[in-house]
Amino acid sequence: MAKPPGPDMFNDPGFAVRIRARDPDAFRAVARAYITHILRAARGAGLNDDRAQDVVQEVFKTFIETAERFEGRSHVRTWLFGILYHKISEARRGVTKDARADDIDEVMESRFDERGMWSRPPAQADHGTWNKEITAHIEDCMEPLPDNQRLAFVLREVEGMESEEICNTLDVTRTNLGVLLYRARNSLRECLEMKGVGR
Amino acid sequence: MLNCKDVHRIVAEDLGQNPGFLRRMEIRFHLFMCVKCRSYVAQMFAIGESIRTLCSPRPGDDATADRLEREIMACCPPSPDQSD
Repeated sequence: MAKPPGPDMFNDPGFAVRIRARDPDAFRAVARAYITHILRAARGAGLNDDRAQDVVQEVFKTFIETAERFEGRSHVRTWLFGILYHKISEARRGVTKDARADDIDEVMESRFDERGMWSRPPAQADHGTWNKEITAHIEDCMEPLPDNQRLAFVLREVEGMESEEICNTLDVTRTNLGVLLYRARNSLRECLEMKGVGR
Repeated sequence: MLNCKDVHRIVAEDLGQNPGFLRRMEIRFHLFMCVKCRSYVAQMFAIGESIRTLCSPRPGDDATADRLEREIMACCPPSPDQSD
């Protein structure tokens, strides 16, 4: 009989063994624990609801197909989000282009003078208005972000993942992750400001 | 001493993570003095909040999750014969 799934169940060394042995109860426990997380991250990464649901199925299909390779060195959640990242990249191939990814670095450079003080500071918006108006535009502003920036941002802000886990999920170094988050956050802020949020 | 460019970079790269005590004090001191960076940081937090709202549970998510679970477990049954 299956043990009731708890938060520690997935850290149990025996759990990876059950996954490799294709134990249906173990698969079901993973599905039950992480379907909604994967679904929300897929939406946050820019997939519409139908596509997000398809991708959830594809993620778990791949997870089950490759179960023999799950060694348990990383948490099952890291494994699943890693699959999700590849699925999203496939699903959005051709939708986004990475060529302009570092334009934001130049934009941010131009906002400071040689002493490192703001020469073009952020618009001094009323915070209440800012917060209210962002919601209407955030989805549009997320759209042009490259997939790795979007997912890094979603994993940090929505899933609350620690840096190490995000690095393992996206297969990037800690320095690269800092660059991804820096570009994502500043691109979003610039986009919102250009849309006149808070004015 | 940190300038605005340093603070914006630390915040955008590492928001939500824990900098060391001294670094945290330096950032706090800078923010106390600098209204422009305070605005920047507030906007960064608001952007994080808005993506959490965008990804928050929607009506029907529980039913969707149940259906997906049934479909996942039905369409990818564990093979009864894994002896090889």
